[in-house]
Parts: sequence; C-alpha cells; structure tokens
Amino acid sequence: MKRADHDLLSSLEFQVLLVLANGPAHGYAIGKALQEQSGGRVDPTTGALYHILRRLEDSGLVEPAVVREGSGDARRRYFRITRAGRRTASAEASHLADLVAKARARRLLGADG
Amino acid sequence: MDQTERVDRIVALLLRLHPARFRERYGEAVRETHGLRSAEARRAGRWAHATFRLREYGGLAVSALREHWSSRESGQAPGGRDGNAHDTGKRATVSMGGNVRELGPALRRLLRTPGFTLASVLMLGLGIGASSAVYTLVYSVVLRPLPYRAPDRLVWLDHGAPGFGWDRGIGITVWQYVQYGGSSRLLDGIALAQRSAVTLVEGTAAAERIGHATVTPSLAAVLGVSPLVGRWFEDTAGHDVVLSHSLWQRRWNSDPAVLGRLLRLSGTDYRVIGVMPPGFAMPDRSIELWTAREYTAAWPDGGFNYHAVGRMRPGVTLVALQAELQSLTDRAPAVFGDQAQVARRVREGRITAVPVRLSDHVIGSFGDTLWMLLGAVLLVLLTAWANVANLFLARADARRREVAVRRAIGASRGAIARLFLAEGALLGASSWVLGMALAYTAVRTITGFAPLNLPRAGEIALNAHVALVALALALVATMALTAIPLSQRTEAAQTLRDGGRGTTAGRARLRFRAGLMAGQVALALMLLAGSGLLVRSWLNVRGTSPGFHADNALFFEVGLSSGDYPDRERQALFHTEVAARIAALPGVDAVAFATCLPLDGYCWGEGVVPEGGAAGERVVVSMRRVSAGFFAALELPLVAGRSFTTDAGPGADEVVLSERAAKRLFPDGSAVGRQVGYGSGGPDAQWMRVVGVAADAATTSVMESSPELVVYLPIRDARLETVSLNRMSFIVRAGREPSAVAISVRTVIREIDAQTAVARVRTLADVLAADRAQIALATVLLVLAAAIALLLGAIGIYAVFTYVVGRRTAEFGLRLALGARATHVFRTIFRQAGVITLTGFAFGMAGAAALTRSLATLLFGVQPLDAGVFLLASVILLTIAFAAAFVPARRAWRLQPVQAMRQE
Repeated sequence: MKRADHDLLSSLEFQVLLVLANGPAHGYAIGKALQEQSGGRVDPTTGALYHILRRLEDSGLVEPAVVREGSGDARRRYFRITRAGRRTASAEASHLADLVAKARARRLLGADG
Repeated sequence: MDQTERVDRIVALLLRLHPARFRERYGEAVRETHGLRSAEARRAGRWAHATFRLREYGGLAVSALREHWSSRESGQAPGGRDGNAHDTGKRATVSMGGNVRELGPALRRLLRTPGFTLASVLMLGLGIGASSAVYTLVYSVVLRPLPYRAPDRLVWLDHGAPGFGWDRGIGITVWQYVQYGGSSRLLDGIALAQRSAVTLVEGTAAAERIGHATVTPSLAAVLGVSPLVGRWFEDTAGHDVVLSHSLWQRRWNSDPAVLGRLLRLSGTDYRVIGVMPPGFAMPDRSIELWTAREYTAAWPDGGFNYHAVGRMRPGVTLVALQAELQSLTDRAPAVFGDQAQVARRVREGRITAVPVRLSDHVIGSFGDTLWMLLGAVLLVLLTAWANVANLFLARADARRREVAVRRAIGASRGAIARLFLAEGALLGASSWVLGMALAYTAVRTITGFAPLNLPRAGEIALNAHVALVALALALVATMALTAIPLSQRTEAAQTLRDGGRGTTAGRARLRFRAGLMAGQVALALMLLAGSGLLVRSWLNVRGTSPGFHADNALFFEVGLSSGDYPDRERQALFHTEVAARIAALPGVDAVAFATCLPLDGYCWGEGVVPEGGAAGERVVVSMRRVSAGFFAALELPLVAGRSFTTDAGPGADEVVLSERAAKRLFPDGSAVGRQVGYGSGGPDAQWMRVVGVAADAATTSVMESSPELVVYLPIRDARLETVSLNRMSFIVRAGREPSAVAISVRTVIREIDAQTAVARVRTLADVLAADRAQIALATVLLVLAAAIALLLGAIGIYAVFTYVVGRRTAEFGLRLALGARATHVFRTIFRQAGVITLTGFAFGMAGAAALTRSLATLLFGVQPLDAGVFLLASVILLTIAFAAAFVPARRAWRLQPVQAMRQE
C-alpha cells in the first residue's frame, strides 16, 4: 500500500515475482527456483528471502495462497503473485528488455553485435 | 537430532529479534524453510553445512535489523495507523533511524584515515581483550555464585586446634557433626563427608583409581542440588553410588544407560543410581564418586578426618554461628565423657570452631590473586585508553575546522554529535570484536596451563555476561572520546579564521595530554614494580629446594582393593613385591614406597612424647610409613644415624625423625638412641627408638614457613595399626625417560594384580610445577600486563612529544633564526618531558607502594617495598620514557630555521 511507484523493484524482488509468475510456491521452493533461474548466482539466505517476501506482500504484489493439493502441508505458507504483482513484473520486464536493447545497440552484449 | 534442536534454538533466538508482526506472519515459515535447507546442506557435507549455518544466522540477523528499520519507516509514514497518539515515541524512533543511517558514512570516514582507525582499534582491543580475559577468570571463579541453592547461606564447618599449632583447616569429627546436627538452632541442615580413594573396576576396562567420598544422604538437600540423571541417596541401606559429571563423561561417554550398572569399588559391588551436575564438587573437585553412610555418636573414629558443610538459617551471621558451634564443641567432653580421646583432644588442642562461607573456602587465596590481576589489566586498559585519547585529540584538532564548517553551513549541534557518536560506536564495536577474539584465545590459553588447584577451573569460560560488560566498557570508552571535539566550545568563526592553532584552547589540550602521559608513566611504574616483585618471588621459589633431589624420579600411587587385601600383612607383601619387581627392571636405580610423600599435603597426624618428657608435653607430628630405601631413593639426606635396615621381619620399633622434629622433641640435640612414645606417655605408651634424623623435606609447599614435624615409621611395624597401607606412594629413580618407566611400571603391576590401579603418575617437576602454579600464573600475567603497559606508555610519550615539537616548530624556527643554539631547543623539549615523566613517576611510586601491599600474600622471600625491585623498575621506566621523548626532541634539534618558519 505504501509503495507508490512500482517500477522501483529491486533485482531480487523482480526475480521472486518471476518465480511466482510460474505458480504459487512456499519459501523453500522459491529459494530453489531462484537458484535454478539464475544458474546458481542468486541464493538468498532464509532471512533475506522472507524479508523480500514481506516487502512484496506489504506492497500488494504478492499474497498468501491456499493450496489444496494433497501434498500441501497445512502449516506451509504459500505465496502467490497478485494481479498488481503481475503488472509490475511485466512493466519491469519490458523496462529491462528496453535496457537490454540499448545495451545491444551500444555493443555491450554479444549476439548480433 | 541433538544438532537439529540446537540449530533451531539459534534460529528461534534470531527470530525473536525480529518485530512481532513479522514473527507472527512468517516465523513458522522461516523455521520450516530453514529446516528444509539445513537438511539439504547437511547432506552436502559437514563443511557445507557449517558455512550454510553461518550464512543463515548472518542473514537472519541482518533481516532482523532491516525489518525493524522498515517497521519504523512505515510507522513514520503519513497516515500510518499509529496516528498522533505515539507522537513522542515516534520522534525517538526517528532519531534512532537517523543514528543507524549515520553508520555507513561514519565507516567511510574511518576508513579514510586507516592509520588512526587501526591504531585505535588495536590498542583498545588489546586493553579490552586483556581485561575481559582476566574478568572471565574473576567472574567464573569468584563472582559467579556456586552452583547450589542460596549459596550465601552455605558454610564450611572447619575447625582449628591452636594447641597443636593449627589455626584452621583440620576439618571436623563425627561427634561434632552429631552435636551440631542435633543441637544447633542456627543451622538448617548439615552434611558430613569423608574423602578417600577407591579402585574402580568395571567389566574388562583397566582398573582406575578415583577420588571418592562417603557422605551423609543429607548432602544434596543441604546444598540444594539434584542429580542431572537418576536420583540421589534416599537412605544408606543399599550399596549405591552416585557419579560426578566428569567421570560420567570420561568413562561412560555421558551414557544415561549407566544407571543401574554394577561397579566394583575396592572390592565391593555398588549400583549406579545417579549422576550429579557439573560443578558439584564436594568436598572438592578431585572427588568423582559418592557413596552414602549415616554417622552416629557410636562411630569409632573420633579423629578430625571429616569435612562438613552446613546451611545457615536465613539471617544468621557467621559470628553468631561461630559462638554457637564453639559452645557445642566445648560441651563435648561432658556429653561424650566416656570417650577419653574426645575430651583430651578438646582440652589439649583447644579446639575452635571456624565456620567460613563455602564460597570463601572453595575459592581460597586465589580470589585475592585474581582481583589483583584484574586491577592490573584495568590499569593496562587505562593506559591503552590514554593513548587512544591522544590520537583522538590529534584528530580533533584536524576536525575542528570540519565541525566549524558544518556549523557554518547550518548543521545542528545534535547532528554533528550524532556524526561523531556513530564513529565512536563503530570504533567501540570493532575494538570489542577484536577484544573478544583476544580474550577467547587468552582464556583458552590460561585454562590450558592453569594450575590444577585453581578452584572451579572447569567452569571458566567466556560467557555472555563478560561479553556484555566488555561491550559496555568499549562503547563508553570510545563514546567518551568522540565527545572531545564537541566539548571544545570555540566560536566557529574564530576557528575558521585561525585554524585552531596557538590559542588558549590549544594550551589546555596540551595540559590534558601531559596529564594523560603522566598517568601512563604512573600506571606503567605500578605494573613494573608489581611484576618485578613477583619475578623476584618466582626466582626465589624456583631456587628453593624442597629438601630432597630426586630430579628425574617418577612418583605414582597404588591403591589396593580392601576386599582382596584384607590385612596389613598382605598389603605390605604386595607393595614389597611391586618394589622388588620394579627394581629388577633395566635402568631403574632405586625404588621406595611410603604412605605419604613430601609436598603431598596433610598426612595423618598424632601426638608423641619424648623420652623423659613430661606426660602432658605431647607434640603433634605427621606419621609416615616408609620403606627402607626411602631416604636413598628420594635423595633426602640423613643428618644423623641411619635409616631402617629392612622392610621384612617383626619387631621393628625404630623411627627416623625429621630434623625439626628431632630439635623439637630433643632440644639438647642428641636424638639418636633416645625413645619417642606414642600415646599419652604414661605406662600404656608404646616406645620407639630413634635410629636416625633426616633433613627436613617440604611437606605441603616449598613456600611453607615451617614444614610439619615428621616421624618416619618402618612399613612393617606391627604396633601402630593406625596408618593404612591400602594406598601407597612409590618413588622410582631411573636413568631413563620417566614416561618410558611409567609404561613398564604399569605392566609390572598389571602382571601382579590386574585389579590394582596406578594413579597420579608424575615427576618431581610436575609436583613442583603444581606447587608454584599460583605464583606462576600471577607472575606470567602480571609481567605480560606490565610489558603491554610499558609499550603503550612509550607510544604515548612518543606521540605527545611529536605533537609538542610539531606545535612549536615555528617558535623553534624563530628562536634558531634569532641565534638560539640547537642544544637549547633540545633542552627545552627534554626539560618538559622530564617534568611530566617525573610527575608521573612520583604518583606511580605512591601507587606502586599501595599496589604491592596487595601482593603480599603472593610474595616469597621479598618485601612488598623491596628497594632493588623499585630501583630497577624506576631505571627501566625512566630509560624508556626518555628514549621515547628523545626521538621527537632530536627532530627539534635538527630543525632548519627557514624550513621551520615556512610551516607557519
């Protein structure tokens, strides 16, 4: 609610949203996915992870989820991306894509340059 | 399982540091995620798991800080739910947040002057580390209450017998225990203990000699302790035994399944019923097994062979208790009229009750030593602080312009204060971290070589209490220093104009610095004199012979199971055989055995009368049975007569006296050939003929003022049954390495009887080291403290005079240009150094005289005001002080006038 300008996402926040865009997950799974997604470069501690999740939840980008699968442990706290979260992540992604295009234009990125 | 729980506890603790709102929402999830990740990391190996844990703890600590910070920010946000109700609280949190925010820039500023930062942290860290290490000792040994319920009401019921020459320390008798227990109105409870040693055999493990005490079942209740595992004695019916925590750990690897197991103790089976918690040491730390017995007035042994501990009723004073116990003891002859021995002892010995607080008894004289050392390291800390203060002053000069500029562009005083305080906090915290690391190492080193007789040694460890005290100290020390630039209320404009030079404030600062320097000189002198006295004492102790040589001899103890060796005849035979077998080993030069060795402390004492002496003229002596080769093996010279000829055969009514005993019993000087009577000296006395006089050997310590009077009896004298032969001390002198001899000895004894335990294997060097332990500990630590103080002091003096020369460079340049001689400049500087040093020196002398008096109990063969030591300390100190002042002074001497004036 406090966060007025959603484009001020930290890199880690964006990556968490990216993970949750794939479906609801609990803390441990989010940590694992972050690692895989980044090729092992991102591996936040449990404390850092929940700090991010708390901030995302407070900003309304993420919300607690109820998982009714058989495997879902009642004690487990699942997180799900909200519509606002999706919007913010997507805005951030296009912003990043923009930056990547610029980087390419300035021959900072391989591929076609 | 165990490990997981411990990890969870740390996580739980770190979670508790988070705001409640965070904990309620995510606490459970954090725990679960951490648990899953932890299990995964553990599968990756021990190292991976350890690093994972460290990362996780760090991460949680950081997130706790961030969460608090965020919750404060959100509380501050407009429209926050907190509203206006917590207006004042809000303002406080705002400034807190401000302070936290200062830390980053503060760190950057400190790193911009790495020399200053490093020097400050090193010096304060050194001081804090040394103080914390010694404070850990003081806290663990002296300050922390004994691990019993309401320990201040526990008393050690000691007695003295001035009539026999003992003011205290003789223990208690069973009849006094019965009297006190039955009639005392000031005691809430009383327990009795008798120290002994048993040979423990269990299963196929090697037999072990273990300190044992027979105690009354009341002991646990009096102390207010319950067993860690199992139960304490409810009665004395069964053959039950309770283990100490250390024995349980060592021998059974802390296995609770030991309960119910049968142990063979000196030939009798006992069932394990409980394990006491660590720190339970009754009557002392050497006792690792307890069995129960109830003592009644009918108990045959009327001697002072027992120890008692009592609990005073609330509000009772020691003085009142002493008076009550004394009257009960004085009434004993009337109550126990039938026991002639009791009546006689009370009358002749003038038995006095000496109740002391249990903590005083446990800590003993080590308390004074530790307090003295704490005082010494606090002086070191002060010296370090003075140096850092100097650094801060120098920096403050540079920063006054900065402060002035900041004020000029509108910074409030508070904002500037926060800036400096943040730096102070960072410096304090860093010094604290360094200090804790140093203290941790130091405590481990000290406990590693700590004297065996250091009380509560097992309980010494750096703990949260010490860490917190040190943190407070570190923060106060640095915060006080950071306030220096703030306290200088010069007008901003003026500071900007003249750059802070040559003003009155400058002179005031110099006076302050000179004061600091004089203080350092004084502190260093005090420590130097104190450590000098201890070094002298240490050298004296080392130079004092215990009276015998046996430098490369091996000492050990053998304990027999009374079940297998029921009578003295068989016991003596066993020891004789052991001696013969060891003597046959290659390289062994001499073997002997005795019931009690020199430097082994208190032995069995009794009264004897000299031939022709008055019947009442009993002299209390220490009775020791020794084998024929004892004096030769120990290289204890005989000053007259001869030793015993053989260990075999009956009718040995011969004795050898120690020199002091001979002088005391036969003042006319011809003891050999005379007789000594055991008993009251009447017709029932048993007479023994003196065949020799041996030189005095130290009985309890080489530092004792008067060794006990000793009567040596042959092993096989059938007349005096009182000295048990169960336990025997052996001396083996060999040309070989003592440890190699020890292995052969164990083999020999195992061959004769596998159930017999060999204990306390040690060399003379070990014995002497234990004897000197207290003075050694104090000497090493105090010399270290003095060395550090001297080094810091020299740095301080150097820094002050570098500053002085720097400040007056222009003036000197002018003088030189006007024709002053270089030596004159040099002398000016040196005179100033002399005045400051000598002022500090005078204060230091006075302080040293006061300090060394507190060392008196530790000193040996040297007076607290020894002129030689004080002179040497003065010479060392003055030499170093002037050397430290010389370097900057020389710089002044070599000044080129033009150069110097250009600096202006």
